[in-house]
Amino acid sequence: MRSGTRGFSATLTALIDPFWQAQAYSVQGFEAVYRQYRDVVLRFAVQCVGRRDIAEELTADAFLQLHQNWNAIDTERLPAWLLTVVRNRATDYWRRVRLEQRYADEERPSDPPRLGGLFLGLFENPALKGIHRICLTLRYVHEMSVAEIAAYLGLTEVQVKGHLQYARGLLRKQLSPERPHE
Amino acid sequence: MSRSDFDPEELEFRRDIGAPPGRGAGVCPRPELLMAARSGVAFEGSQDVLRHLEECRICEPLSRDLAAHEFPSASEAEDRRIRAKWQAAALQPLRFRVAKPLSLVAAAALVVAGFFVARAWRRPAPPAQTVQGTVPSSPRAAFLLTKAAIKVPAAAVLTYRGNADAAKTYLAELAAALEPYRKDDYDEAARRLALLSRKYPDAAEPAYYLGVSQLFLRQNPAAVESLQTARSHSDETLRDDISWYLALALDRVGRTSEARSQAEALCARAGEYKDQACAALNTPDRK
Repeated sequence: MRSGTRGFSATLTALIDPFWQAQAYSVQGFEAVYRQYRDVVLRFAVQCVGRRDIAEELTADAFLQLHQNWNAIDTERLPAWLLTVVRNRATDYWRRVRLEQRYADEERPSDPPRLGGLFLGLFENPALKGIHRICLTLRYVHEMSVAEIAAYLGLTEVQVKGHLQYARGLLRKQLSPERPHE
Repeated sequence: MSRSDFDPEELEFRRDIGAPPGRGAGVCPRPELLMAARSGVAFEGSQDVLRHLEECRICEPLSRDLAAHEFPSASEAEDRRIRAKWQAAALQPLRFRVAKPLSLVAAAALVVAGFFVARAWRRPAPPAQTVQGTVPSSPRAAFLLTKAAIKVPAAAVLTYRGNADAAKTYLAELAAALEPYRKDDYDEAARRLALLSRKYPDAAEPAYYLGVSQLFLRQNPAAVESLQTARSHSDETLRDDISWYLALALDRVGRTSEARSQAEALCARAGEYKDQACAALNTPDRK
């Protein structure tokens, strides 16, 4: 009877151990993938929808889907697979938003002015870094408030004000000698 | 997005560089649309945006700079919320997969052990311990509150296309009432939506977004009432949304079986809430 019990115990261990090992491997693997790609996916989602809160939802959805398909997904396909999920969700999001926007658009003027050459030239100043050009364009072309720019870029309002002040100062220097010719 | 909050220095700067007065780029798509199109998101008009992007001397460098901009990584709070979603689902399949082989093994073990014990000692087997008693109580992770997306009511859209003034007014008032909701100001959203709900007692949208706002404000019994009102007036557009938030509200007020019924219906059919409803059903109840 003892040998029978030992045999049964061994069978039990043999059945359970690989299962738990596989589970532990699976959970650790998913956690590692999550840590590796979380920010990549979140940043891409921000690019796709322009709103941090929505981007967070899309990122969560993408990882949820990955979790649900974990056994079927080859990790070689990551993060492209996750980015595709985000892109598809972003498409759904914009479909809803654009529907709403139609009504708002009708309230807007439809004949905006064109921008002047000097204006464009200034923004191509090689002394300006990308973040300066972004802040200048969002502020003075798209007329976003400092708070909106900060929220969009994930910066503080103080940082945005600093970038704008620096860029204005730089452009003013460039502008000064041209004034007598105007 | 149009703003006129420039200080005097900025106004002077705008004059000096010849920026257009008043309304911003106008012809240029909003930056988030530029970036969506550039990222390959297909939406109505995305081809136009891409064409514009190729030609516009403002948007092209802007989109290039934005693509290179290092948006901040996830904050601790964001990470927690993102994790919560997949971790809630992770509990379910793990428990299922664990339970299945273990129950087979346990059943076999009980049969074999019972046979040997009965033969060796001829004593009754000890009463089996219930597994349920050993499960630690944990908060229900799957009924997580996330902000409901704003959807335009299909019925109102159809009426609006037919130039019905009443529908147009309704949409305008709804948009105004949802403005604080967009900004996560749920107090003000609830106040405005409650007024609108009274003004349009047959419309589902004000009651629905009122219910969601009340959930964020932890006014759970009121949320149940609002969402039930919304459901009685809703069409297909909002049916699943309302059911999900109603399930959440019912769960919060302890009406668990009703919450489960809502979740079961959502889990049983394909839709936006299927996954989370199924996950909620498979998450242990609160003790």
